[in-house]
Amino acid sequence: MSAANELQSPWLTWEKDPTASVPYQVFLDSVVYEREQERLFRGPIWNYVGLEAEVPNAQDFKATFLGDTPIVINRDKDGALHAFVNRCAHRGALVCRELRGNRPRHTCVYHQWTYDLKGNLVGVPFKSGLGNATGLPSDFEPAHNSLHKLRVASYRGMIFVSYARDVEPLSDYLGTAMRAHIDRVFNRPIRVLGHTRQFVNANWKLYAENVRDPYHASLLHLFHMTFGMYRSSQGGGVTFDNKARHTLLQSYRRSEAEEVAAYKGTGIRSYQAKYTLSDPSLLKGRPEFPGLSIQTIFPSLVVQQIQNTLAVRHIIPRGPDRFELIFTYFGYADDDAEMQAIRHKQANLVGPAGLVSMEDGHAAEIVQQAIVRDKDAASVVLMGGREVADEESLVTETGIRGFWRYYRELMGFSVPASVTKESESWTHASSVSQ
Amino acid sequence: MGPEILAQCTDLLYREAAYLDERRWAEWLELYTADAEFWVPAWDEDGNPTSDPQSQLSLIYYDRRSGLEDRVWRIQSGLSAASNPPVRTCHIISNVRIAEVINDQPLVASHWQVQIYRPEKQHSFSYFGFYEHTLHLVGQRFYIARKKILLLNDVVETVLDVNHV
Repeated sequence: MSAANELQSPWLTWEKDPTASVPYQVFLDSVVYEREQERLFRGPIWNYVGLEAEVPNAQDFKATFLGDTPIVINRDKDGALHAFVNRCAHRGALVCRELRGNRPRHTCVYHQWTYDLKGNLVGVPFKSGLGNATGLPSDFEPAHNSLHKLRVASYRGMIFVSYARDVEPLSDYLGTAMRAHIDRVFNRPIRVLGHTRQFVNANWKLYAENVRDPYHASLLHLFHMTFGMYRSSQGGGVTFDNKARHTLLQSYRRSEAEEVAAYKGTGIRSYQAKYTLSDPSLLKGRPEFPGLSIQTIFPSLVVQQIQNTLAVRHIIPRGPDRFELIFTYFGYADDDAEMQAIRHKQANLVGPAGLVSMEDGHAAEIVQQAIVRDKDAASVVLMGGREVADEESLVTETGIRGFWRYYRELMGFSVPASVTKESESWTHASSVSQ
Repeated sequence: MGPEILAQCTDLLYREAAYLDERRWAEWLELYTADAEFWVPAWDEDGNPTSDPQSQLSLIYYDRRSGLEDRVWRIQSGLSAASNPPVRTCHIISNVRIAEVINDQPLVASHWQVQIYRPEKQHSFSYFGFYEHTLHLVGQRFYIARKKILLLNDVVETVLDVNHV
């Protein structure tokens, strides 16, 4: 029995309508969590870890995470990027204890083992002994005691690393459609404005679903529905890369008449204009992008443009039922003072205190609370059908379906053929009953 | 400034805490001047709080009271799942002192802690830090013209709102 099958049964049953539902076990199980660390975060894919603008100069470093593994990215003396696991080869202590800085080499405080900016061990105190002490044995090889090195690549100033030796080139991993959007957002040099950090008591994949889900945005978010920043009747939709692992959600305004017509008869509370902002300056931005866009790069990166706020969000799993979310806000290096002020004011919309995004972390938590005893139950991800394909609609869960399809492939969770047949017949039955 | 002024300033801080904890939102807003600044700085990656809300990131920043009015509307509407059911808060303020007097307007420094309970999750947590209130005397009464809230534990538990700090 292969490892994949062992996980399939009896622990994991992905049986109910596998293309359009998710067994809650994947949000709860530590076995699943461990396998994600191995197959996703240390697997043959690229993981976002930071922006080049966060380490602009030679010898700059930044400490962050690859999955739940602490890592360091830095530039060497010549400005080339390197990345390694932030764990001393000696006794396992953190080598870098600051979030960022600039230094010519890294020294572990515990016994002062020292590494160069490529992660090579270059210094061990008392290596050759002291007095009667003999030091390290003669067969000790510094070259075999480097920091664990990671592959590193960047695209348009976004830095990705891979634990795997064999991984496709980063630009292929991102794909043509996703690169086109990254090119639009990172069209000129950026300036990092700052970071916010928050912990959410939920599985990280509940947030990964949330950011691939344009269906919830006008329903959950009070701010969107009240002030018309985002409405389900707007134009837009979902675009995938060719493996449907990454998604791009975009919305743009249509004429008022078209939107009112789209809502007629739906009876939902969206699009009410009873309250007007006491401080309308909040939404007085400058025209910059055609609408709103939320791009996700599998597994844990979100590139966000809401009004004039630009940010990358990094999802860091911290166990099956907790994740950290880091927003890195940015503008462009050529922003004038007024544009900077607009971006800072609109930062009130997103992040942990964000008028819009406050509800997202909370939504993930109330799912985690409710599913606790129902590993075998499963969600319904049927909005827009069972397809995983580009859609010109915001009322769809196709982005979530794409995420899980690729997730299952990497995790080795196969779907039995018999189950696929059943779900097809169910599709037929449900379409008749409507 | 004498002890009576410090007592008046302290009383204002305590009343603000009570209005927030008792959700007396209209009275809370009434403590602020219309052009009051409300500022919770973010921390940079070097471990320093940001010093200029116009050119650096904040956790919350409004340059006029109306921004707070929108926050209050949001909380009171009951329509945001993240703010309803409401959290219970307990603001504790101490070490109150007049740090500076500029044009007869006191800058009042204090230490604070807010205990927060989310009944939905039966979960308690706390935020803590330092306040700076700049007070303006209008007639016989002090109003808050600027409030700077330094949040020392800036890794947020899911959400952060104006009544959590």
